[in-house]
Amino acid sequence: MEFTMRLIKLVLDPGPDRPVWRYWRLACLSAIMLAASYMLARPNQPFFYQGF
Amino acid sequence: MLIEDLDLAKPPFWIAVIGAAVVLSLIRHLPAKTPLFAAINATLLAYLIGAVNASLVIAGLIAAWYVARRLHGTTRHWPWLIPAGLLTLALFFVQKLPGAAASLHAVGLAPVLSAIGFSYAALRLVELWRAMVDKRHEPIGAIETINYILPFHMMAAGPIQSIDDFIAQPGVASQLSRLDAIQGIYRIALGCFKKFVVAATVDATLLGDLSEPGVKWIVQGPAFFIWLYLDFSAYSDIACGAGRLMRVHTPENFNKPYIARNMIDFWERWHISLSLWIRRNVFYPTQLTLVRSLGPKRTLFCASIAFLVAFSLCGVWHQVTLGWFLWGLTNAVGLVAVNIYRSRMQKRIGATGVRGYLANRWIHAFAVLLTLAWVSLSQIPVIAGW
Repeated sequence: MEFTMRLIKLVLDPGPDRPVWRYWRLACLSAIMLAASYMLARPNQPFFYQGF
Repeated sequence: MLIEDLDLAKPPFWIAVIGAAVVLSLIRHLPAKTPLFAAINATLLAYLIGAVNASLVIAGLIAAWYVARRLHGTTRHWPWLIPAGLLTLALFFVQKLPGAAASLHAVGLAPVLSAIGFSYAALRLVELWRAMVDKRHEPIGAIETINYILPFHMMAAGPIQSIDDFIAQPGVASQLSRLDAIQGIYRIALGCFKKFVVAATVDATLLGDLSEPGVKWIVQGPAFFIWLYLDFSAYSDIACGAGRLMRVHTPENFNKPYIARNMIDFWERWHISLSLWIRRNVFYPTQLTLVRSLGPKRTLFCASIAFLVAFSLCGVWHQVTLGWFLWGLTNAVGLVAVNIYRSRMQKRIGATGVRGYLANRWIHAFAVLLTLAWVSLSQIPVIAGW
């Protein structure tokens, strides 16, 4: 349990003294977000700025 | 050739980002990076609007650079400012006045102006020329002018870098570090996620046909604001991420606008680079001119007029329509109300009372909701298509 909590804390907030964890956390989050975007984007959906 | 706006779903933008990041980080000689970045900007421009149009745009930028040089070297500014300003204004109207854009569509001018994000370029031109008139900086070079006015990653929807910021941090800076690389990729991924996952979900579930007026606007107003934030900030995230990868300084454009406690706070969090541009180039000069002519006792009145002028122009900058003018006016009324309320409260309850007022959680929550409601209300004329 303590290990799990420490792991969660490391993932959520690795702190400035753990740069390797920070890299991995950002890399994993980036991969998840890119994968989700790729899967949910409609086929041939353009990526224009649609505001104004 | 069919001219389209920059589509981030197509490979050329990403090839340019990755190519620029790799090439610029490989080159150790700092002065060589500026022309290289300009070449990348020009190449993407040629892809977007064709080689002939791109050559014309670059010729226009060199002319703008020449005007800037002449403005710096003389005290008689009007012979240069009037024609340059009128031409910029005319091109702006071609892009933003719906009728003009439609009538000139066949000529091909309006699509080119739209593709290069001319309304943003025009704001950067004003920054450059003002800095030269005020003699705040030495003139920048022609190649730097291309990088400042049309950086490809900030072309479609900003951010609008100030000339002071551009000169303080040259267009292309130091080497790409491992932290820069991962943080740049993270910002790009966050932008894609906001656009394709979160904004798409809000669009599918809460937004329907926005043109039909009715009670549903009570839900659609705030939902439209949330969607707009996600869509717009996604572009800014990608611009900032791309800038980080290329080591080109790119200002932040959003800072959690949905938690703003009043309209002044909101405009310090929403489209920050535009808000700062308005403050520097419209609000402060208008306020200063009014205070000089009306006297220092009427500062609140002068600020109110300056808000109305600045945000009416801000509305028209988005699109020259009644809907956007009313949007600007509603925002200005919100800003004036907050400014007067703040001043009256300071006088009535003093500094200690204000601290207690600001610390009160219930007042804070109510203020955030009221701000969200006002922002949503201001968008109704635009949603209605007036």
